[in-house]
Formats: sequence, C-alpha cells, structure tokens
Amino acid sequence: MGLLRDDGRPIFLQIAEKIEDDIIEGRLPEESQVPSTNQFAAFYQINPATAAKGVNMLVDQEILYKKRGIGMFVAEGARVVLIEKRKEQFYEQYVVTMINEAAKLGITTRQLSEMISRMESNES
Amino acid sequence: MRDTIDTTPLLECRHVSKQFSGTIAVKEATASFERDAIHGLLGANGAGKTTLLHLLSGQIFQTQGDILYEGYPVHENPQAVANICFVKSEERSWMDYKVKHLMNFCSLLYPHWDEEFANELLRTFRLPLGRRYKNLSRGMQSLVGIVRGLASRCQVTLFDEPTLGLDADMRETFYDLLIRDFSENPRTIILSTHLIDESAKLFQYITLIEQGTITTHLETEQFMEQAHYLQGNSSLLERLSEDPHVLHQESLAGTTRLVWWGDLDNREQLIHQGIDIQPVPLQKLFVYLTRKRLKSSQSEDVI
Repeated sequence: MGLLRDDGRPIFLQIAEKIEDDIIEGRLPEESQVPSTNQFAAFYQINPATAAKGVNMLVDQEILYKKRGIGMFVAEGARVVLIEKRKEQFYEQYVVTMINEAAKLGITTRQLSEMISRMESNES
Repeated sequence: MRDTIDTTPLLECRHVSKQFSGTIAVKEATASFERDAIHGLLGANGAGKTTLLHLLSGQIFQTQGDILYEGYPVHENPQAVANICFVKSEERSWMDYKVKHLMNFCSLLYPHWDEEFANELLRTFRLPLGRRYKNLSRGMQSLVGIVRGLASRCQVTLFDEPTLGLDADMRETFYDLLIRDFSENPRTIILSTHLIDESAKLFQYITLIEQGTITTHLETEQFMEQAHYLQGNSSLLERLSEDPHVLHQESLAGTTRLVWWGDLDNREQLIHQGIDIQPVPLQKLFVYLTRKRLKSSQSEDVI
C-alpha cells in the first residue's frame, strides 16, 4: 500500500486502486481477508465513508465479497479479472500516451519498437 | 451499522439570518446536515462560520428562519442542549477554572460523557489538570476543547477551528483520534477549519459559506467533481475566458490554464483538441472560489 496522492483525484478511487494493486501483486491472495473499512480509514487518515465507498466499488465489481459478520474477502478469480481490466487501461494510459509523445518528437513506429527491443536486451 | 436509515435530518437550518447591530453575519442560510457524517464547514475569514455554529448550537438566537434539531427548534430545547456539543476555539467563561474542574463540569453536562476516554485523551495531550484554563497556552486550550468534543460523544459535535495553535504533530494526533473515535462511535460532526489541505480527506460532506450564505453543500467528491483545471493552447482556451464558469485564468507563453467550476459537458471534445483536464485540489479550489466571489461582489458595489 502506497501513499495517497493529494491531487484532487477521488480518494475512494485511489483506495480501490491500492486494493487492486495488492491483489495483482499477490500481497492480498484470493480468499484472503481485506482490511476493514475502519482500518483503511485509520491508516490513510480518511473518512470511513470514503474508505467504504472504495471497498464497495470492488464488491460491486465482484472483486471482493462480503462474509456477513466477518468482513471482506478477495474473490476467487479476482486477480485474472483485474489483470484483464488493467491490460485494457494499459493501452489507453501508456500506449496511446507514448505514441502521441513519440509523434510530437518525430519518433517513428519502427524507432519505437527498436527502443523496446533495446530495453528488453538490457533487461536480460 | 443500522439496518434502516432515518431520513429526518438530525440538524438543519432553513433560511436562517442573523444580524448584529446593523451587520448581517448570516443571510438566508439553508442546509441539512446528514447524520453520522463528518462535515467540513469552509469559508473565508468573516464569512460567518463561527456565527453559523453558534446558531446551530442554539447559543444565540437567529433574527430570522428556523434551526431544527430532530425536527424541533434548537433554541432552549433541553434535548438539543444535552445532545449538541459546541467546541468554541476559545471558551471565555472557562478562564478561571482548572482543567480538572472543567472535566467534572463536562461529565455532569453530557449524558454520554466517556470518562475513561477523557482521561486517556488528557494523558495523550499531556494536559496539566491543575492549571487554570486562562494560564494554558493557545494550543493547550484547543486541546481541552478537543477532549470535550470527543469524550462528550454527543449526537452532534460542532468544532470551531479545533486545531488553532496546535503544532503539526498534535494536529495529526487529533485527526487520527477523530477518525478512530468516529469509526467506533459514528455521529454528526461539523468542523470549521482554514487548514483545508490537511483536513479535506476527513470530510464526507463540504459546506461552503460565503458572505453569510451557504452556497454549496455537497458530498466531498461531488464538490471536487465540479472543478477542473483546463490547460492547453491559449488560442482555444481564451475564447472561454468570459464564461461565468471560469473561476481563474492565467497564461504563459501561449499556454493558458483555466479553473472551470461546473459541469463539463464537452469533455471529450476538449480532450480531442489537446486540452489537458486535471482535478483541482480542495485548498486551491477554495481559494479560487473565494477570490471569484470577492471580485464579483466588488463589481456589484461599483454598480
């Protein structure tokens, strides 16, 4: 869990994204219990209603589910669903932005793919 | 959590005005404060925050309008007196009393007073029980008020600038305690502050008071969604500069930045034109709103 950003973006969305990151990166495995709304509120020093809104958004998307009287849990299959969702966002958030910036600088698609290959060979 | 939601407003004011020897401090203020929520009361200096809180607590009488607690007038209403705790930024009538006597007084006044919690808070804040209120530092006076406001566990708690004179460490402690205690004992809290940046995330609702009138009462997120920075090519954006939705505008080397207040119907079109749209942090938004209203009221004066 990282810090919240004070950039005017709704806090409940940031809370939901942090839970999503924790699920995708394996810190919150499927069928594990998610911290309570009050724990989120205390940790991030936010209104409990805001924390609840973020958590409930993920309940509505069936990423989390509620066990009555016990708390919230990560649904089975949540990770795959989230990864698919993030892949779609990846195109908008990163690919489109990158290509627009490249066009502004006169970088061709071929040069771009060369850069990606270079990055890959540096990594290995 | 309650199973049924009670829809009678716990506390509301309807067209309330208050005049002090010729000066109108509050004018036609109308708002209904949602139950079991933390409300932020924001306004510039002299906007009428403190007067509104006095009115809501029933401690002064309005010149016009109605203030209702559970549907009944708040003034001289014993139910309201026992269930509304108003923490002023300074308590003039407390000056000669020692902290421990003030705590005794609170325990008699408030039916839900939590003595154990009060003692825990007194220790946390390291308040000297034997010292008189008037001999406490500004910050310590605020802390006595905070102990009273939290330990009274009143259905309605009004805090007027509770963090006045507190250092950053103590303010953080207060925010943590407020969140913790509110989570465990949900109730209606209305808090006025000028430290908007650091307290914005505490508020579920925001009430904006400008020149004595409540101009906005919205859920924090809806409030924030009303405002956007639009930044991009000046030739595109300067066309909008006369629009009444524009709160603020600045330009630098062919780039213009606007603050837009209201619905943004043509968002897709703006993005397509290369306009960057970003949210506005609450503190900034508050400044832009205040300046805009000041400017428009000055121009009214000229006319």
